[in-house]
Amino acid sequence: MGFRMGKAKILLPLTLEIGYREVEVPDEVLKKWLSMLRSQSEGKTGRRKPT
Amino acid sequence: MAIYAKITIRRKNWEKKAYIALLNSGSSLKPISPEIRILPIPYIIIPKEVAREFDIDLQKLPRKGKYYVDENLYEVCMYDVEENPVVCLDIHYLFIEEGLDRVILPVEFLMKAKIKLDLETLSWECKGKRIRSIFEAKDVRKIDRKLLRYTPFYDLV
Repeated sequence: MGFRMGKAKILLPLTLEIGYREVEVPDEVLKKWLSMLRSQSEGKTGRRKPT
Repeated sequence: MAIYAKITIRRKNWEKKAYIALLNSGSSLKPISPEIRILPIPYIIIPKEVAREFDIDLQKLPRKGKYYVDENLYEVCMYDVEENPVVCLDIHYLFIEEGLDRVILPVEFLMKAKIKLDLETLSWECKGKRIRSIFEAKDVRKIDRKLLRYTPFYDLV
């Protein structure tokens, strides 16, 4: 990025900030989360009144 | 600049420490499957230097790729530009990223805290309040440098 002024080229101090990231979860933590979410989901299902 | 806010992190039985964090809708957990794209588990991502402030021993933590996971109870609060707390969340996970240079509030945290991002005005909304990004609302030269210690803006001041 820059402007041409005559023969001189001036560079602007721009920084490109890239914030995208996909966070990786260690297997032991992921297993715990999935087990917790599964039990929460079953708990909700179990409490539901029959229709 | 994107949207930043003052936050505090407090570990149970510790005093809270203040930082400036990036509210980043581009950061989230890697999808597990096409059906499970977002796990509703709030966490934040911090640099190794911040982990050191909480005496976290990285060698004892589970790790995958460039991420370590600390499983402890923390309270994370977000503040408006007048330094009033707006929302606080209890989280059980800190992700520590190798090479990271700022604190990040990822999608899962923003969802749980019910934060909306308004990129037109560079502000965030919560509980009916609209709060401008701290770097839009305040002159960075007047912000306490201690608060900026893990924010790349520090290099410009």
